[in-house]
Amino acid sequence: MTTDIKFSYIKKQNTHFQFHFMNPKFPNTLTLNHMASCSNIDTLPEDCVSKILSYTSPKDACTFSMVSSTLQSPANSDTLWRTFLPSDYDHILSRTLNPLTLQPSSYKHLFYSLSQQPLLLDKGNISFKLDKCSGKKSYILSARELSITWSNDPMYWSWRPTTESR
Amino acid sequence: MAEEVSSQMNSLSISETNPSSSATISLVSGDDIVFKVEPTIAKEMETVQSFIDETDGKITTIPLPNISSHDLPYVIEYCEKSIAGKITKEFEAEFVKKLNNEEVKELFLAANYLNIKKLLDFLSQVIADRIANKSVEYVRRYFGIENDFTPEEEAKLREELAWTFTGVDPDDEDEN
Repeated sequence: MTTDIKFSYIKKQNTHFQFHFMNPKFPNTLTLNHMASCSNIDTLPEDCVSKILSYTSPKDACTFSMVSSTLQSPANSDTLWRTFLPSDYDHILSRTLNPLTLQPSSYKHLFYSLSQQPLLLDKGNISFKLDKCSGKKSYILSARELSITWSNDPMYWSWRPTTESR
Repeated sequence: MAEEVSSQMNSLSISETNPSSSATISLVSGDDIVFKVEPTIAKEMETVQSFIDETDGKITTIPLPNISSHDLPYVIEYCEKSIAGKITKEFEAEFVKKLNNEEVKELFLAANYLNIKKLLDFLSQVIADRIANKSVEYVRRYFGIENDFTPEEEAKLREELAWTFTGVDPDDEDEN
């Protein structure tokens, strides 16, 4: 069976096209708007750009936010920065000594807070921080919490304060 | 030149002589070249499939004005491999080796337009790899984006994000 179809393109602005399918067998004209038909990367939907950036690193996303004003929004988006946070970030946050100090306005803000200021977890015996460039987790453990063979025996181990320790 | 025209006419006339073959779907590129594909290929392209579904399968010629005849074969090749379950790391590495920066971008836009999730994911990764750890200027050149910040705005951003400028890869020559 042959279906006779005529179609015409109506150019809308520069990037968006509208199709009209006129088919004698169908009384209603089928019209499809192609919002996704874009000519360049900076006219792509925000989630598309965020998707590309989610395969990069927090550092690359920051670089991207300096490219142009139109790309600032996808490069700073919550969708994107959520992917840079550890998947178990809410569990980590639930272990903080003082959760009230963290009241982030966005995922990017939360990421920045976690990469700038170490967070004390589990009664203050673990210090947690995110690496600013890669988003990797880093922990500093309390030496007193470690179970070290003969740690109580001064013959083998002694406790000495160091300037970097808390 | 004359040969090129005649080959285009050929490919168009093939589709005209056989318009009723409902087994295949004709995809028409922006430059009016007809590509005949199996319906299973069309299924991979959500945008195309929705055209077909909305007309109960009666429309089998789909115009794709945003996709050139240069890019469409790559898209079809990827979809064929995808259906055959043959998307391997090796295939993807070979596939991407053939593409320059411009082609990667065009295919990304095509995959987005056709809504082919697997290809879109794959190309997102490819683009991400190509802009990873590059300078702001490199990324601008890569995407062909104009800097629309005022010098004051840019200076402020650069100061805020000064930490991102350490350890950036040197800008190598663009592949294009």
